[in-house]
Amino acid sequence: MTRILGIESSCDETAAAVVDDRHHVRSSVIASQVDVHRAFGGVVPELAARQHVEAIGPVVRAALDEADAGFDSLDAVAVTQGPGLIGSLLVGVCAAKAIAWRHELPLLAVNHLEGHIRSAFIDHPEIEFPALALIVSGGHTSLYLCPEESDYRVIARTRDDAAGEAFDKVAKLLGLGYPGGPVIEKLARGADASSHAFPHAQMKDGSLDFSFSGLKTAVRRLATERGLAHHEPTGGDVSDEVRDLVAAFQRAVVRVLVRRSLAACKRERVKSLLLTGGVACNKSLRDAFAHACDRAGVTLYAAAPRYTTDNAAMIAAAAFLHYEKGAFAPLDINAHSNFPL
Amino acid sequence: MTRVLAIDTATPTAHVALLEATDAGIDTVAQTAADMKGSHAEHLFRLIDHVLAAAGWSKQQIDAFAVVRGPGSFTGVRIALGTAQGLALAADRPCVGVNTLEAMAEASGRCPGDRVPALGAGRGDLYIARYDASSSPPDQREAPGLQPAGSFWEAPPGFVLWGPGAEPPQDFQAAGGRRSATETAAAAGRIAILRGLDAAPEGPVSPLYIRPPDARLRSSR
Repeated sequence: MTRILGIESSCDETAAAVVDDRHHVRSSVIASQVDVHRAFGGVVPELAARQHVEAIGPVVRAALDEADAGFDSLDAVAVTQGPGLIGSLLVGVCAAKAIAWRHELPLLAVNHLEGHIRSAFIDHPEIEFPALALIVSGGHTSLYLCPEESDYRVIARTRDDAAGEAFDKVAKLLGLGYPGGPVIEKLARGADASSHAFPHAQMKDGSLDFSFSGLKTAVRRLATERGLAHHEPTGGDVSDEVRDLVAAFQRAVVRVLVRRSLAACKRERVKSLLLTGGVACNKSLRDAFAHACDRAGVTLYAAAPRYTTDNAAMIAAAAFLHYEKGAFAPLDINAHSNFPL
Repeated sequence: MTRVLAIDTATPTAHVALLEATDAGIDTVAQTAADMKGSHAEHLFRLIDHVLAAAGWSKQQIDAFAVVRGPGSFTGVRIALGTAQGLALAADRPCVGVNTLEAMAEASGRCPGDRVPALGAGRGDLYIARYDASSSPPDQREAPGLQPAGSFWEAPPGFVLWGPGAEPPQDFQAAGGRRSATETAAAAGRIAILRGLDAAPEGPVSPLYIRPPDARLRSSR
């Protein structure tokens, strides 16, 4: 048996997990900072870093305790090296190095995006290659072609906002609170998504890249015209007009994600599609993907909702690929805010 | 006998020291420093391995950790505390936090008046505190705070020990002062031992930032 301790601190969640043999998650502990950032309507980097410093020790301790694992039972320590917020990343990287150093364990430096892709394998170890992976979160909206294990080729990315960022910004401008994804998903339930027809950004060069800033601007224009823009959380009940608006917005985001992903599957002749990242816990997105994949003869592997948002189980899971190849990181690595996969 | 590893990465120069406490007193067994702007995260373990080799100690022999918890560079403080929390957790040993300014006062030893360490805080400000002239560990007279450099140098409240980023103006005479001694990791280790490693509070060491984050809610401005 191989056991890896994973640590993740790239944005606003301090997380640690113990994973055995690639996908047996023994524990996955996440200290969320959402209450800290809610008042600001988004993640504040300096506040995030400060929270990680306080949380890292107790979170790692809790992950080990929950897994009933001592340091002497570990085979390696894995950590997110990037991309992410530098002050946040550094806390996890330094703590992971300290643990690896003290117990003379291999250190495994993991790309956060590889972690997201491997999150789908935790519940679906049988995924066949070649596969296509959509990572859709507050910081990323990218499509990766994976011809085989450990081979990641980006074939589309967002040219402006990430999809999750668009959810946050729309929720903010309508005064609906933070984070925007869950709020909008809840309000859109049962509302009339066909009330507004929002434009889908198509790339002139025929690429499959995403763009969400035009959609966000269209929502803002409409909200301003109708006096729906608030910028401060309104609290209380939300009108049907706003619910219809966010339902239409959500549908527009879902549609473009589904269409682009399936177009990519067709172009690359791929029959396995991985749905990962924080926005992938959105139920209407999951349902739309399931429906479209079914029709297209593509097998959908959606990450379990608990592994869609940032977590350390996915980092440990991804780290197994490095461990098996003996790709150990030296103790002089630094964190990298910009760290392409 | 107690063996302590002390770390300070709060300023542009990283310091690491090993101390040994016996009934006969406290010895700094090995120490090293490296000036490496912005890359403490990369080189810290090289420095630690270096002092361990110099002392002939194994990493398993360390009984406790001391860490400089700020004020100073926010990034440096995070590197020190992330590392120290990881070490304390992994070794199941206590970790004691010491503030940068008291470490400067301790390192500088006896002075002609109250010791007033000053450290550059950016934006024309200084981190300052005041300690008595000679106690070890330093006896705090004024808690660490933030002050504009201009007004500070006009009337410093004691014998100034200036550290990185806190050069005095050319005409500075006032109550006197000198550059702070730089052996801050060793000083932090000594303070931690003198205060009692067993007396370290439960739970992780909290950083001391002093300067609040810039993010403020509109309503609280």
